[in-house]
Amino acid sequence: MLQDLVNKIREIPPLSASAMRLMRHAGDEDFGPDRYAAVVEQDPALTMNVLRAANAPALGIRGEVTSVRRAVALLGARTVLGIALGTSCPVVFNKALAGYEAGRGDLWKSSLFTAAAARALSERCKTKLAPDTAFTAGILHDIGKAVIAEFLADRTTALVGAVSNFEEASFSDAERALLGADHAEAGYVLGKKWGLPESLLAAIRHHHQPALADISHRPLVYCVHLADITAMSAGFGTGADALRYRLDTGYKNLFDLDETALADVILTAQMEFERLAEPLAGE
Amino acid sequence: MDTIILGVGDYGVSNKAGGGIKTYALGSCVALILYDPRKKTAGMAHIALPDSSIRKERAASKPGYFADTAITSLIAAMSRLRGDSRRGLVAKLAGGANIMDAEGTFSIGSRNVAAVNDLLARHGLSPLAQDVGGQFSRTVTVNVDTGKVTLSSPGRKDWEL
Ligand SMILES: [Fe+2]
Repeated sequence: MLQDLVNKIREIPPLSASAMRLMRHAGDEDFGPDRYAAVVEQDPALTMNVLRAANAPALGIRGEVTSVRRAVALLGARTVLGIALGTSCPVVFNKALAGYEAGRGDLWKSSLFTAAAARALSERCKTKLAPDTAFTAGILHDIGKAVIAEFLADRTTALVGAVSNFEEASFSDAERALLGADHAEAGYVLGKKWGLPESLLAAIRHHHQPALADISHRPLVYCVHLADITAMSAGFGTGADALRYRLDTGYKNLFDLDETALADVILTAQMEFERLAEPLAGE
Repeated sequence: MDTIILGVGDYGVSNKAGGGIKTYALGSCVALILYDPRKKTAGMAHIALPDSSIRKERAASKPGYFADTAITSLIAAMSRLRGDSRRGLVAKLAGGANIMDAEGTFSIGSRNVAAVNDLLARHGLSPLAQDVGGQFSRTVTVNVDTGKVTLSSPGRKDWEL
């Protein structure tokens, strides 16, 4: 079974060079809009997607936006990065997740909400946590679901039952019992193949068990852990696994978060999701 | 079937024969369903948070998002369709699931359910039936002809309320 997962990961194409470059510079203050636009302009597919987003009716811009620089300025760096990531690997974000009973686009919406929540949560972190890195990690955290979903097909009832009956402590445990690896581990292997930086790899690998992360990565990993739970709570899960996990209350050492602050995070994420969802809809 | 689909924070009403109102993947959100059996009129709100005081502007543009503003808006919309106030209304609740949290800060669903029950009582209503809590996300549909509520969740057989 593990060999099947490895083969499956081998089939998934790399992220585009432009997405990789933008990601590497996320949150880098020296990397201004001009340099951002220069990366976009070198990638015809991304240029088209960015211009289309800038001309989306939701933005309400009068007149046609034809310059990449202006589009980047209008959309903002984070949105452009979101477009680059979301469109650079459609076999990951845009496919239905069989075993989770999630439709086409559900993983993308869930990832986008998680990204928005992670950005909002980064402000509540007691140590310094770059909002754009939190956003990027939120987009990428569940890529492993696209790897393992087809191997869970027709097993949804058994997986869900195992967690409901307390045979397994979480949906991840049920995945491991069935496949030998869970979506977090599969995502980590895929992310490694893509050449993602260590911090993002840690966020992907440990987002359901943040205490296992190296201490230097914990603020980001706990941020994504909480953002993922926020997304599932707000109705942006990916079907069968939604809410079938455990919260690690160790986040309290790293985040200032009470009920009111959490409500504010949910609302802020919802509004950012609504703002981004249309320009980032893809096709 | 002529079905109205509600997103997060939306509410809707219908008295269309053969119609329905549906909302997907509630998570910790609560679907409040109101029904008038005599006039065969149904209403539903997809409520995400208990209290609108955290962001008044949002409550103005999406009253269905918060329990307090959702209930008043939904009752008002029902009244416009039924030509009556609260008399003869039946309420049902679904959703309000939670992540496993030993300390409760993330028990968002429980807080939503408590808020909706509290507000219903203040409006002189109490839920006839509720399917709330647990660790899974529900999709909910109300049938306008019968007031019957159908629930579904991945990996489970559909059930009724
Ligand atoms: Fe996950």
